[in-house]
Amino acid sequence: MIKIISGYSHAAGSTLALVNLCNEFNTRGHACTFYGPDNWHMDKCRSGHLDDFSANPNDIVIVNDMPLLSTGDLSRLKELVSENGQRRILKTLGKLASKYLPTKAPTDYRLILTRLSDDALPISNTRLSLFQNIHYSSGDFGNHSKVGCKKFVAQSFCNDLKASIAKPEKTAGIIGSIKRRNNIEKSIEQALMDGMETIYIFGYMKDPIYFYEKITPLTIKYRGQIKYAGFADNKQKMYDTVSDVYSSANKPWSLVSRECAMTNTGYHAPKSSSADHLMANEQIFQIWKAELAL
Amino acid sequence: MKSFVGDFYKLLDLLKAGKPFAFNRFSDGELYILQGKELILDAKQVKVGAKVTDGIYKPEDHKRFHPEEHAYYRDRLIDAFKFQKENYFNGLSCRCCVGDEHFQWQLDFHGSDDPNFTWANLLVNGNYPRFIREMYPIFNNYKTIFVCNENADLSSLPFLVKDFRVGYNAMINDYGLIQTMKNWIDENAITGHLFLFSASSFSKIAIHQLYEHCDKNTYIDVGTTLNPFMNMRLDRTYLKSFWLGAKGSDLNKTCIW
Repeated sequence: MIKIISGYSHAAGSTLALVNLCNEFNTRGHACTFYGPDNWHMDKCRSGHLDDFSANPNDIVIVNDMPLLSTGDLSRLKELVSENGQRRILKTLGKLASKYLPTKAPTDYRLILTRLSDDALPISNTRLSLFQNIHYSSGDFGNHSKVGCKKFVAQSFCNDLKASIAKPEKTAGIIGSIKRRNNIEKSIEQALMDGMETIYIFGYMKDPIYFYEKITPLTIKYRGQIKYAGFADNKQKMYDTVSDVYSSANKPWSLVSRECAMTNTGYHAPKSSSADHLMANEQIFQIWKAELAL
Repeated sequence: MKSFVGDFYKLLDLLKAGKPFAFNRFSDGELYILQGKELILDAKQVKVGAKVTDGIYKPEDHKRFHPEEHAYYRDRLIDAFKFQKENYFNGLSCRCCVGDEHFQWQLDFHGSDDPNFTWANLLVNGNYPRFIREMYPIFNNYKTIFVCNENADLSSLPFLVKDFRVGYNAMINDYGLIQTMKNWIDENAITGHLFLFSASSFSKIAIHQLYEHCDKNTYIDVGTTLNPFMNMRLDRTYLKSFWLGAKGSDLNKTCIW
């Protein structure tokens, strides 16, 4: 059985990518369950909480954003990802673990590390020798990684979206988690300079302090023009609501530009340094099938 | 066994499923009114019964309740507190926030063990991050009506189709608005809508009477939770912690029953 475990499963692009991956496996006849610490993923695919997870013989376990240092960590996943101190603890423990914990990969099941974005947990916080393979969702950060392990690139599966029948005019969307590195305030200013009259912000409230410091003053300055919607589960409805999408962060792994093309939505973002060739879902699955030897 | 987190997800699941419900909340202010104590909250004083301390309240939060003069409104608040109906969730002040004595007083005064009792603080403290991150986005699925103070700026909320405004001491001064809202619901055949309330004690009476009048809409008392989107002050500890990063333990607090 294929099992996906993640250090988070709240509403975010990476979680959606894992949900889609899980659903694609199941649709194509390969039983898969996605385990996460949050609730958002629970009604979107075959799913469980981290407490429900166990690695059994012949399992393939895909690991996302989890500071795994030994196979023993797999039996205490909730503890591993719980509370805010997790990374600080692991930073200290990680150095000890690298000296004293067993280094071999498990023999009765396989571990695959997945890297869905470049702001995931630093790869140095994970013990790479446990993994058979590393998956990257974009060649852009996969190729530049100095990781010596076997690796492969497969883009995230894309949802089936249709061109919006009736688009509003001069209505911008900013899509992505609310956090500093997404430079949402710059996207807002750019959208306003381009003449957008209304701006919807779609994204998980990852950093409320940033929102209140940078975005709230703009909602007051441009009263009535900027509206926070939160993460949108219904992508079709989201793209139907906007004429243009703005981004100020270079994220080659993101599906937003592709989804804009599918929905006939204008897309304004920095040019990617190395644009990935877009893969069809079938092509993406064939890569996974080959790499996991399904 | 009641669960602070579990009850939050119970309401969230109803909201996601489009099943109408009402979430009413009786915090310490309502508790004192139910107990028949005189209550004055203003800039000069905070008076609860015979106890008087310095005032800290801003104009929109001013409240004045006199048990004899305003007995009619206390009776309506009692109606709201004692009301029982399927999916009418009654949030009580919890023992960890108001103490065992007041908590028990509520149960005794209500007189029955309503399975729909929950926490008045269900959307704040340890559940507030969940509220913002998981419940707020679901509001977009509804045609939403906001009932709030006349000074609130609602222009950054994307899901609103209408608002009703109240002023100072709304439970008494704006009581007639409830009938106005009932009429609006009837005249426009309003069903499947979401009504959010941030109007202090007025909210409690209105939610009861509106859910009794039309249980095909959802009514939620959101209190001060949406203040950061309404250009209103962040004068609650849980708001300061979440939005400003201020020190405080409220966001880690799981209220007990």
